[in-house]
Amino acid sequence: MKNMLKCAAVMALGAALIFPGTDTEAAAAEPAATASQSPNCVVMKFSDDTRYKGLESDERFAELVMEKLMDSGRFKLQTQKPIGKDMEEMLYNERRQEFVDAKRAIESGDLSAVFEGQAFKDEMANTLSTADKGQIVASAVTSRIGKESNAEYLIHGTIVNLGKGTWEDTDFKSGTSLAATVLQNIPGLGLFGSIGGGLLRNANKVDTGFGVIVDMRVIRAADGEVVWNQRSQVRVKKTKNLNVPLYSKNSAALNETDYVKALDKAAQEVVKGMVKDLDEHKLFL
Amino acid sequence: MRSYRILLLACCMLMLATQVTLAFPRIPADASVSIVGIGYMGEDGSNREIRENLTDLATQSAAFYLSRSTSLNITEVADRGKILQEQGLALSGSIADSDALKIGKLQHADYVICGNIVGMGINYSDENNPIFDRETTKAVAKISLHLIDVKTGSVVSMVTADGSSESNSGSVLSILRGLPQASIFGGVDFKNETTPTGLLTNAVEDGLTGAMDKLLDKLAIKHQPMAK
Repeated sequence: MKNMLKCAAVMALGAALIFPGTDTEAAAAEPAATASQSPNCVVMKFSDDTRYKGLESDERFAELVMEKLMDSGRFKLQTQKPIGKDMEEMLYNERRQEFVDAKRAIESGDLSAVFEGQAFKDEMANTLSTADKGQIVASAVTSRIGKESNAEYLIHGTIVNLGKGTWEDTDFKSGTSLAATVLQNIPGLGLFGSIGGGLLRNANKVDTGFGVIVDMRVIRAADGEVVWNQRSQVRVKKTKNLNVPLYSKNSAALNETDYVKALDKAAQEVVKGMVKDLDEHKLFL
Repeated sequence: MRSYRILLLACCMLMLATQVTLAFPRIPADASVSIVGIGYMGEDGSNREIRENLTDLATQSAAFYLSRSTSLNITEVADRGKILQEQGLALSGSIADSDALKIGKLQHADYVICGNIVGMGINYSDENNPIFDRETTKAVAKISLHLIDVKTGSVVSMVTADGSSESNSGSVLSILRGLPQASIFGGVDFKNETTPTGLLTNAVEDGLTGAMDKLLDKLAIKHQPMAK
């Protein structure tokens, strides 16, 4: 009996080691075990509220978010590509009648029709980009997208702000100033201490980098309710100038790869937040 | 009691094996795959020609990589241009999955691979110290790849990878040139002649190779990693 059990354990261990790596003949793509517990989601076309639309930050950000969502193995993405329809345009068309009614009411001077209309209800989101948790985005549109894509939830992101800056590293400056003071006050170093301290005091480091603010939201397709949202702010930096005694390093200005790095970091942050809230059952209640 | 422990361990091992197997998407080892194309993201008129040349190169490299290092059945990349012309499709800029699917269907492929150069650029930096001074030109590219099931239209897997290539020029111990004995040893100059376009090409190829390796590893398809 004992030998049989040992044999079973060895066989199981063997299976565990061999099975996952070599069975390429296994049919069709199976979703991750954990992802299969998640409802169907679809990643929508993201929006870019900054003045840098020509950079296609929304497309790049969506691509990076999708890759990380898939990599997490926690989300079942029905259409794992931003779908071609521009959701904001569809939403605008959906609310066109609301705008027409409001215009008519303003022209007639009877504003109560405006304030009592759908647009002024607390639970209604003004725009998709500003939709907060608990607010409703046009349900007729979201449910149509959900049905077309066979998805229960829609994932949408907005790039709220994108900026670059250059600043002096004050921590570095404080550190070198402190080191200079110590060096100048070490007894016995004399002139060397004074010269070394003086050189250190002139050391400086200037950083440059990109900052990105993004909003991410998950919308229940059936009723258009925003069930989850998060704002993430990230900054990536690199050394622009470094001057220390006997050494200097300079880098040219920021470029496209630095900006993509910032978007990538933002994508990591939002997906981390989604996975965390999924684990804590705050997402997909 | 000990027997039960061993039995429990065996069960856990089997469950782990099954879970890991399910966690990875798979495709048949002899599936027919079409490399639809690698596009680029970000409109930049001044660099459009370079970007288009790089995307063409990346598409060719991807097909070459797969046909050389896997047993997958790769459809002719040459057909792609003909199909695009016949269907009035133009693949410029970033490549949408929907266009990739159309081409895959016309090529009777089981799966299509498409992707994008998500970003690329060149960093210039210089370093100076008494021992050496060096100027570095480093090209970096981020590549994404999607594998799409033509039958269901769903993306089976998606990866991104970074590629880079750099060249250096400068001198070592050039400070000695100021000494009277400079004629004996006056330092050494070094220079790399690779052009920025050449560096970008190498970075894109490096990124593509990395992305391909990652994709095939995820799909657990046996492959021979290409020499970089």
